[in-house]
Amino acid sequence: VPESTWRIGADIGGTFTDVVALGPAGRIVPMKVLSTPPAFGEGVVSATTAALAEGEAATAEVGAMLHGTTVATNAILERAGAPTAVVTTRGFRDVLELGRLRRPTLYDLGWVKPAPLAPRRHRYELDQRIHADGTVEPAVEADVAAVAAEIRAAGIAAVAVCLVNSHVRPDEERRVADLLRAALPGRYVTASVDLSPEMGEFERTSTATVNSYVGPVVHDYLTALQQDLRGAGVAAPLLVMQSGGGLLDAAKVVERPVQIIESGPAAGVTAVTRLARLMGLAGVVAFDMGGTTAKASLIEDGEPFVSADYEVGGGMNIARGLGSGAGYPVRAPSIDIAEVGAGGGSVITTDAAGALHVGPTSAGSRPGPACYGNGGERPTLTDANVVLGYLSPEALAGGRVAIHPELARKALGGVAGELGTDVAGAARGAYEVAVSGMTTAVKAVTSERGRDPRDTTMVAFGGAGPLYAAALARELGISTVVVPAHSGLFSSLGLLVADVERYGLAPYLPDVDPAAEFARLAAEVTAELQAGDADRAVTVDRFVDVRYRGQRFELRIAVPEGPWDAAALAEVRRRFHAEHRRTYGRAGADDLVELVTLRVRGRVAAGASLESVLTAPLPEGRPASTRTVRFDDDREALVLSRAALGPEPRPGPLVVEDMDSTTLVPPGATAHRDALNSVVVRWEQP
Amino acid sequence: VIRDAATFEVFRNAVSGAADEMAITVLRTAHSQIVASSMDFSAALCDADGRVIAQANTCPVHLGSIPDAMAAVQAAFGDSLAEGDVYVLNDPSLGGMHLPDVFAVAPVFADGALLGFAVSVVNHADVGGWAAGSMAVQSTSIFAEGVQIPPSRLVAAGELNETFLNLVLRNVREPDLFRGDLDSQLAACHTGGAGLRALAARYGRARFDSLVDELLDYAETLLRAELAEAVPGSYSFLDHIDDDGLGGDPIPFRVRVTLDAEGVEFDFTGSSPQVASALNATASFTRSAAYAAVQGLLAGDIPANSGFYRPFRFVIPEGSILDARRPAARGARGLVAYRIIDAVLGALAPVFPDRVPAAGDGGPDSVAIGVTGDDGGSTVLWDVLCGAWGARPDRDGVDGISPLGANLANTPVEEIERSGHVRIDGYGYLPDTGGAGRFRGGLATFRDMTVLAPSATVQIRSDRRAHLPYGLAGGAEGSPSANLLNPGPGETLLPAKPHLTMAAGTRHRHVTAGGGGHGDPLARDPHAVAEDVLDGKVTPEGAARDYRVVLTDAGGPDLAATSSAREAARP
Repeated sequence: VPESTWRIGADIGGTFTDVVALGPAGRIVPMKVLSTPPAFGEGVVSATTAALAEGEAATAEVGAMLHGTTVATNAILERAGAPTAVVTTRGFRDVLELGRLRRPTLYDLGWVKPAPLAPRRHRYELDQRIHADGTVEPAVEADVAAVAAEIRAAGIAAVAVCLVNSHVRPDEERRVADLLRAALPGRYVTASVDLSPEMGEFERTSTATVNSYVGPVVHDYLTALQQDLRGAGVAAPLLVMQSGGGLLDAAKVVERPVQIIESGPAAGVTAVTRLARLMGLAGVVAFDMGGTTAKASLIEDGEPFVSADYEVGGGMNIARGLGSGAGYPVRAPSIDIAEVGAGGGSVITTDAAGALHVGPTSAGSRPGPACYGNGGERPTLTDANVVLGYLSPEALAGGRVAIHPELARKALGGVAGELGTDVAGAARGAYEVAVSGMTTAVKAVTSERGRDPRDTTMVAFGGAGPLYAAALARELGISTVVVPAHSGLFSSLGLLVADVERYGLAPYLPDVDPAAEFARLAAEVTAELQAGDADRAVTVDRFVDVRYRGQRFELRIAVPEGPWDAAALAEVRRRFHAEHRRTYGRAGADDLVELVTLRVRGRVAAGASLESVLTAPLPEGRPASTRTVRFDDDREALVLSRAALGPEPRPGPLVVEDMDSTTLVPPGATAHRDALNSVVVRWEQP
Repeated sequence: VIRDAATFEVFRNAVSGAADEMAITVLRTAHSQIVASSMDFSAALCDADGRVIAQANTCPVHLGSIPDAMAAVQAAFGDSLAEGDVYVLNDPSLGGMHLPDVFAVAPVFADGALLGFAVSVVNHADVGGWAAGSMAVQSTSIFAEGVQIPPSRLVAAGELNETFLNLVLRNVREPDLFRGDLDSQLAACHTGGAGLRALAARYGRARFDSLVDELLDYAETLLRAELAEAVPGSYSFLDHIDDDGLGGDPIPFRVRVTLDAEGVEFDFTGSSPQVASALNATASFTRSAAYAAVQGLLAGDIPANSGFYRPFRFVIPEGSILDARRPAARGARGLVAYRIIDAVLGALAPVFPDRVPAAGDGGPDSVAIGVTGDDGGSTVLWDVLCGAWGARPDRDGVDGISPLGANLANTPVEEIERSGHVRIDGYGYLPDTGGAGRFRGGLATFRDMTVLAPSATVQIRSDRRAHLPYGLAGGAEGSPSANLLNPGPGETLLPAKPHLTMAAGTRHRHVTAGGGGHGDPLARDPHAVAEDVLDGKVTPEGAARDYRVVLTDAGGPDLAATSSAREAARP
């Protein structure tokens, strides 16, 4: 991509569409418009055109169109996917609906199990069997044709094929899928082994079903968006962020939409990953807090942790394995993000025994916090932050959102009464409770993995992250917090700086040569990434998922450079024992080591330079002032813009106001601006 | 009670997070299928007096048993607890429940003083005894059930007692798995201990102790507030386990629940004396089951700590199936908890008519398949089969779910088959098995298998064949469970709790019970019935017979004809 062209990062949410245009010399033009469902492309096009106009550029100058989207997630949450059929082995049509029998809450006799994405009437059985030892009783073509006829008659748009033991003999499942594709032109057909060639019939079926369920929706959406963009004069190819990080060409995404379900959160972590590499930080906790949730993830040696599976549509993802059963499991690479229900809109309540709670209920964007003056009456964290003086009592977002502090105080009055304290005391209590809840998310990705949070640096972003980061860091013993420039837009920035990536995987089978499998997978992803440009440089990384026999969780181990041979295998085993010891405090016997899945990741360096974006000149902002800010007691705090903060550390309390976020520097901490324009908050004695 | 709301809530989060961290440690590092996949384990933190401060979100029927295990350890070693010690036990007469449930208790010290305990409980895949899996119903004495461990110091000041451990390992069928899972428990205790010490360091010992008091009082306050909504009085219920697996009579479970100003009393007088087989529980387990029933009813977020237990009183006859005397066998006692829960909820149905569901499948059925290899070693495949929940007062029951008393996962078909010892030929729902009602009970589940090994011992624990899951408010009972040998023409109906040897090629079908219905079946929305027919969950015959719903050719309900049919059917 030549330097002179513009890159567009477009992040579509349910309410707003955020576009960030990156021009020559790191110039950033943000643009926010209301989303335009169901024709989301209209919003993207209008925001892109407006941003380019502000940058005095034409749509023809767009060299890359990069996209983060919740379209797949929303299709599941709103149950708006395609009518989907499942085709499976005789005797197993209920696998999808039975699931694993667990529920996410122990004690709720009113619990409702998530309805299967393919109802029982649309789940079909074939007389065929793949045995565990690899022998196959194949399906008869006439039977497949009969099932295809039923599917056609039922008006079904998408099909998921998952045969029992297909991970042992993928060929039989692919053959059935091909027969169905031939018999059902225009229908979206997924073979489970093409997404997840691993043991576990329920998880494989669920993955294939989710893929098929969202496939036609994602296809239509991306096709329409590309048409709209072309109509507006944007000729650049459309790339979409994947859950595991990395962008992928829209045409490829349509084949595996299950890989873009966590598209939005992945973009922010990608940007932090780049920042960690720029700063040379070994361990980084990425902390992202918005309106409804707070998210944490760990980046180690410049790579985020990527998990092999997660649940979609089940609410909060705490990434721990205790609460499964709330949603639809999906086996697809996903950046490991732990989430708690604490955001600016989280509602503050008390219970019958006088305890104070924050969230998980959120006031959402409508009516939103009471202080927005849109009719909200329930007190939220944003109201508490206004009462405490952490947020401007006049306006947020550079003046776009007016603030009514008297409404915030009024809303918190009830809670204060219940607690027998003043309004500011209740607000400060809610702030502390929110911080404590968020430690759970950070611990889930650090100490629960054997990583000491005190060895990390926290990078805070999202609208509310920089308000809480310093307090959260202190709670966890983290001494340094970095709040990058444009922290409120960091997710969109992640789109601009990401690489193009493609994943491949294969089960580890005792009778298949792993060296040949790795070579095959590497060739596949390389060919896909070089489509249209054979000279493109592709880097291929190899990994193996390893566990001890009987364990349910694997650890992902990087394969050393060079050929796969006995020495490489020995090194993988050594790394696994070491990683297991690091993560869980102990290692098991060598003869219990089990290789489960071979993985490759192909990568084409394509991202813009984060450095040039961050070091572009900062806006001057408003002149410095002071206001009263409540910590344990009231303090006068200097309020200044990022540009006004210099390289010399200033002692807190300070409030650093940006266009898109506010950084709170408590007493006892210092803050300065570093060479990348980040606000660096340090605790003197963590 | 709460001195400072923010401090209290921060403490509450931290302490429950520390308990969850213990459970995650077990989950992620355990080696056996029963732990890693079925998640049959628990973890808790206690204070220096042995009171439970926090428990992880794991296995409900374990949770009330921890105080008894704590008391047993303190009785045996109270004067000599030292930093770095870990105690283990599984003896039901000395703080345990049944032999596979091994408790690990680690005292936690801060500044030289006892601060509390980290406790983990894991249902091990096998602890020896005559039957693979150590949970056979047919055991008649605990001496046949496996290795009995009284409260014992496994780790003394950081030093593992290898002699003791080797003796235990020699007595179990899969020593590698036992060792791996025990290591997971020790790791969890280590995690929990670190969590407790961090809290004491943060708040100081005196404040830590007062916050624990606040936390226990908090749970009690919330529970009493909920109980205050109930109409005071006494409510009785009688339910049964079909038989003891040795040809005995039905086993009655009688409970009288009394709600009064003091709280709630559970009087189990009139329940069965202890039985000859392994269905005998401990008083701790009986209390656990009663707590779980009440928790499920309240559906709230009340912390399960020792404060929660305070409003409860119990009358549990000694020598009964609910509190058996040594040397009673205990291996299959899980079933007792499920029936206690059914009986307690049945008693409370008139008190909380808009909350109590009809009975579910009656507990997970377990199928343990043991295969002995040429080298004398054994493999145990442990399959959990869960069916359904009963219908709720305002919605259908749940199809395919672990019962309230447990939160178990099934074992993937492909994982079982990987052993090469059996093939699973089918796994799914059976139509017309959910009790009819205005709201339908959950469906029964079947699992078909064929033995591939030359010979396998198969041990099954199931129930609810004669005494069916009850319906409520006019809803019908759920369908019975079944064990069919070589299903099809010439099939044999096996007992509910058989132990037998199967040769290669033998086929078996297990069927769980269906859930009970709630409300009058003739009041069920005809559209809901038609949808069930389309999904094959109710047959057209079942729709006509049980619901008097007439369907059109297109599959929708014929509302006029249905109305007439229902009119004609009313007495």
